[in-house]
Amino acid sequence: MQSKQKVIVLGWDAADWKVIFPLIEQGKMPNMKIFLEKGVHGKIKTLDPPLSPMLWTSIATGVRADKHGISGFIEPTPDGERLRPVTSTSRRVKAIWNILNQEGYKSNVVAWWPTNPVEPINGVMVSNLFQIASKSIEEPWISPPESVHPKEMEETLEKFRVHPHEITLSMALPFIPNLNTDKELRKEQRTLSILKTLANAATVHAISTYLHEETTWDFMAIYHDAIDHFSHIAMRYHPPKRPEIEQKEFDDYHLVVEAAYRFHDLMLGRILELMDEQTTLLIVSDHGFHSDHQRPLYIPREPSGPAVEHSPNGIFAMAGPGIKKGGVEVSGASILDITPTLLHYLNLPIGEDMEGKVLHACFEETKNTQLIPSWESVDGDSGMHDKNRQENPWDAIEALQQLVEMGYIDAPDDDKLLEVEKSKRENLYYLSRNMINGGRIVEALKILEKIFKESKIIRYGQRLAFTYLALRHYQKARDLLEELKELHLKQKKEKLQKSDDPFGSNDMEEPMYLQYLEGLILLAINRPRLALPILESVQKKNPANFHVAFNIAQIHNQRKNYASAEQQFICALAIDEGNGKAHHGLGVSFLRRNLIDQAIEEFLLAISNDFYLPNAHYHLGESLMKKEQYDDAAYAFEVAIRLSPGLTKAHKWLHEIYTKWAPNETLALKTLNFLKHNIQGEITICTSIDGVNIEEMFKWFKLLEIPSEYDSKSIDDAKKLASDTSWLKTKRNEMIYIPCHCLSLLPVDLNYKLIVLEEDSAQVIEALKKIHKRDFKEKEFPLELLNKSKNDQDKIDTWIASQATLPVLILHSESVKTDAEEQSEILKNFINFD
Amino acid sequence: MKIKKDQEKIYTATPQGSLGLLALGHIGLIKWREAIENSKSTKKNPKNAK
Repeated sequence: MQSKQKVIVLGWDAADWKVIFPLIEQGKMPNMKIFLEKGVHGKIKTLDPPLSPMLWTSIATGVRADKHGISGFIEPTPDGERLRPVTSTSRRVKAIWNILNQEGYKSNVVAWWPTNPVEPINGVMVSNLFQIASKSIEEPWISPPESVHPKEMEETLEKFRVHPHEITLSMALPFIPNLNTDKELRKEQRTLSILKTLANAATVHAISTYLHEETTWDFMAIYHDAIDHFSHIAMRYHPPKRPEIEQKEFDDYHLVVEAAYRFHDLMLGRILELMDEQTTLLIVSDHGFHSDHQRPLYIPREPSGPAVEHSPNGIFAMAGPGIKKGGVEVSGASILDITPTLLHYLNLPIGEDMEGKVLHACFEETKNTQLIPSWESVDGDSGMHDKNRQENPWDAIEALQQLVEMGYIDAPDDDKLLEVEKSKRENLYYLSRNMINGGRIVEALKILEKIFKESKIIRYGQRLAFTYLALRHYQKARDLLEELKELHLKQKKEKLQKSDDPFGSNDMEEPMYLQYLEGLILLAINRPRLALPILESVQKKNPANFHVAFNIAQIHNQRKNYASAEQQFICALAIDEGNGKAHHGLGVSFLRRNLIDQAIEEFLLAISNDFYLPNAHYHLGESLMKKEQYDDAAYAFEVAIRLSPGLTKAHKWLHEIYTKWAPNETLALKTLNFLKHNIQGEITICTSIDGVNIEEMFKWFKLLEIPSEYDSKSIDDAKKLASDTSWLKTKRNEMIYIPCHCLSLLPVDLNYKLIVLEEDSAQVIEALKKIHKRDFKEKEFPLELLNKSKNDQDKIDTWIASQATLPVLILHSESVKTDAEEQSEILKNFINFD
Repeated sequence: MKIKKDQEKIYTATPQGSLGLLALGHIGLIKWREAIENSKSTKKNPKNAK
């Protein structure tokens, strides 16, 4: 029988290449250097929110939190009276060691988050609570219940626990050299935390080496939280010194992070020493940690606030039989890819319900990915907890509440219940963020609406407003912004921000301040001139925020201020150098100034960082046309079309290439046929809620010489859309008006651009009063008409949200009056008729 | 727990310990704790010095 491929997964929480590479260059991580040269490595994208229990479970399962069930750090105890660290029984899906268990593999799992209570796998599992010493060294160190499987292994492993009080001066000096001379420093909380973290890491490592040498295994998963902990304690003191850091503190703690990484390098050296040539090692972190100018200036006072120090890019590196050698860099990895990649490597199928992909670029040989619908429906001993031990602890609370109501048990006191309730909402908030991150925006919206309604916590409201924006529910976003502003003022008055309750904290999540939200809403509804100063003011407060710089750059590109756009895109790329969209934007700013070589370079960088950007391929094609490299241009347009089949302009370019520049009759005919049959064309439509002065707007369009049509016949045609859509196809280079209630009648075989005409609500209501011949008494609130406007707006929002791709432009009558020149330019760019 | 013969030869430990010793994992811990015990018994009775 062929022996199984042995694999070790070594988790280093928060490890970051930005710290590792300089240390390698200085010769301070020699083992990492050797390891990288043997295999492949790359950045790995984290998920949002970057919270460790959620992320490490995603690494081990290949799915996000709404599927695996671990959404935060804490959960309620079964009696509902207290909160406890999240447990393994809350995980709803199989981890990789459960899948391997079914396939006859023997696994050792050490300290993975969360694995308490330990699962009865074929092998050894030591939980993430085992290494923590909660009492002084004089008192007996009793292991938490169910922290070692099999139980008989517990006594042996207890011998390898290191108590923080055992850490000697010799061990601590590499972290804090001044400990030698400054005895006061030894009592410092930060010093004690460093010793504790070091002791925990030593325990995890000692248990791992013991299991490595003394047990039979096929798979090992070892998790170290030390780099994350050391970084939270002391990254602010890591060189270069920042002005706000006191010299004494810098002198005392500036070596902590470096020592932490060097210690991990030493531990890695030992693992490499113990490994044979046939074993594969994969090192992974769940997120990175800002170590440079991006280090935040303050930590928000809210649950999980320290996560602002986390950066979106972690590390992964892999070496072993069948893995490419020579330090090959692999891009595009996500933490969701680890489990699918390992299963593929071990010749096992991937669950179609997994959300990650196989990182084929890691392997010397390409083999087809085997798929099964789901590992969850594959029978066999997975070593998971018994089904009736698995539970959603928050559901358990609901059940408990029912028992209280029925009088079977006493209710926990109000404060405790309130605390549990707040934590539940916070976990739902994390879950919604994780869903948004995974593109499940509509589901996230429901959660956010619920928790914001219940709590009126501004953070939740902000996220909700961003979700409305993402779904293009502009009116809802605007209304919510007003509510949040009022709430903010009210809370300020009540001085709630001084409260000790972190759940109600008034601190804003970066970059989620209301001002930023306001800027984005203005941008979305096409008021760039108003949005720009607001976003610039946000940028002053938060110069290291990628999104703010990126948004400002986009405004400059939109307004054809290409030099300013270039500056801001460079600023954004200084923060996140691997951002494909920013490289694309920078490329456009070059292309429009005819700096073709620079543009091509940026588009190629955009594509290498994020292949799935159809416009980057399209603009690359456009640039290559200018260089008269027709074959390459054709290839770029073909790829753009593969990614976005409705990209009409790309089809047109291709037709031109195949007919004029690189004649190819077959392909020219193919493109022509495609244009004729597949793309029925693009129609530019205008819509509005009732009461907006459309005639005025269409007069303005005529003045601008934009072909447009608005009369009683066009309105009648629109109303007949349900039975006849043929007339639409004759309106390809013309702007037509479709009343909002007819939008849903538009056929699906056409591409659309939408212009939403808007007016101030007071004017709309006045117009509606006239249309509906309604007189209202002075000061009487026209509720009925307002509701009608709201319903109309909902119709527009719903239709927009139902379209896969739909460029939308908001034209406000006030903007047209006050800034006709800017608005006309934006309008012409948007419609871009032939 | 026995230390394998070849490892016995390679690693030496002092009661002060070191990060290098911790990085050796369980073997390092065993050696370090032995060194501590040895040092304690040497202090009590110098004849026990190894």
